[in-house]
Amino acid sequence: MVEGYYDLCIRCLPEDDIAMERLVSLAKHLGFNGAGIMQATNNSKGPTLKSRSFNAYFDLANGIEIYEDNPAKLHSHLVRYDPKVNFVMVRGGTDKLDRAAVETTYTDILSLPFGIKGSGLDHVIARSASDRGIALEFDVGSLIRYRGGKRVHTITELEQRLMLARKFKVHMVLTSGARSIYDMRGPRELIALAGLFGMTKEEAIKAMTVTPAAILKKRRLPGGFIMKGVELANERIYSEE
Amino acid sequence: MKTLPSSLRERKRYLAIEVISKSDVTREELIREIFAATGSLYGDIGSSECGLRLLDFEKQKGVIRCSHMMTERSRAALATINTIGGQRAIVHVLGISGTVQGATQKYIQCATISRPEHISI
Repeated sequence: MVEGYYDLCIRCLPEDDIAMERLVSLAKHLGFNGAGIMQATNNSKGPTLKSRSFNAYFDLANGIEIYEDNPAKLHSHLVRYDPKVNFVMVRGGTDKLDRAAVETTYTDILSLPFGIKGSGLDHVIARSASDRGIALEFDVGSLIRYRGGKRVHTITELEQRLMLARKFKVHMVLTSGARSIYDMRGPRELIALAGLFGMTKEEAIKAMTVTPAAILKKRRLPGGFIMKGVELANERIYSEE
Repeated sequence: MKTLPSSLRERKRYLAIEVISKSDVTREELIREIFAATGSLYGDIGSSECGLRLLDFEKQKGVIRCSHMMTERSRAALATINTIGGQRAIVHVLGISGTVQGATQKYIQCATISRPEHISI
């Protein structure tokens, strides 16, 4: 796996290989060593989970963003998509849904929407996420897309989330949340944008390097493993015996 | 008016930038967007503290001057630009230097030229 900066939540799915190549070349040009292409379950076409060619110089991961209003159905989605992707993100919303998301071991990242009254990160969710090692997404794309009052509210919400994440030691993932390649920003730009809501440079770097790498490493089987729990034993050891 | 001696002048930093867009943008369009973005993010007082000024812009690359304590703020403001002259664009900071010459030599002349048509949708 390539070590370096990761933008784990690129929410645009390139239509063909040429568009994918453009996305990867732009991400490399901006200074990223890896990226995660997110597909949403509420997409009208449905997620296409084809495996992508692994580039030695750029780590491209497949992710799934689960949109489900009913907390009871969330688990079935998680079980269905978990083996097919490199990481799973759950889109929160209501308190019940957020709590259901942080109570499973399948969730890697919790993404919370902005501007929904009566929802958001609270101390209960933050503690649960911290206990289970679930990361919290800090999407600075909303700071790029929005202007005026909406951006003001977004910054306030991000400040609140940062305060809770620091207090309960929740892992943080800093993302651009790009809907198109023109929404992508370089790592230094994302650090500067994260500084607007009080995230320090060290926290922002960790949220783009260590945390995403740990999330991807968790699901990728180390060399020699055929599947979870099954490792190909070294033949030489047996021949010597 | 006489030029201030160098010890009394405000310290500056120079940001080497490139614009990534489908077709070329003009200098005027870029200036308009820079001031709109900083004005929207920091207001008039914050914008004046940043002291942004576009010095040179040619072939989608240029140098922006800002106050030496406001480099991160300026970078954040430039990152919030998403359209220039009605078309989607990215303002990417290639690097920051203490002199115009440094910014030009280190980041603009040596940088690999990103062809806008190759990274358009």
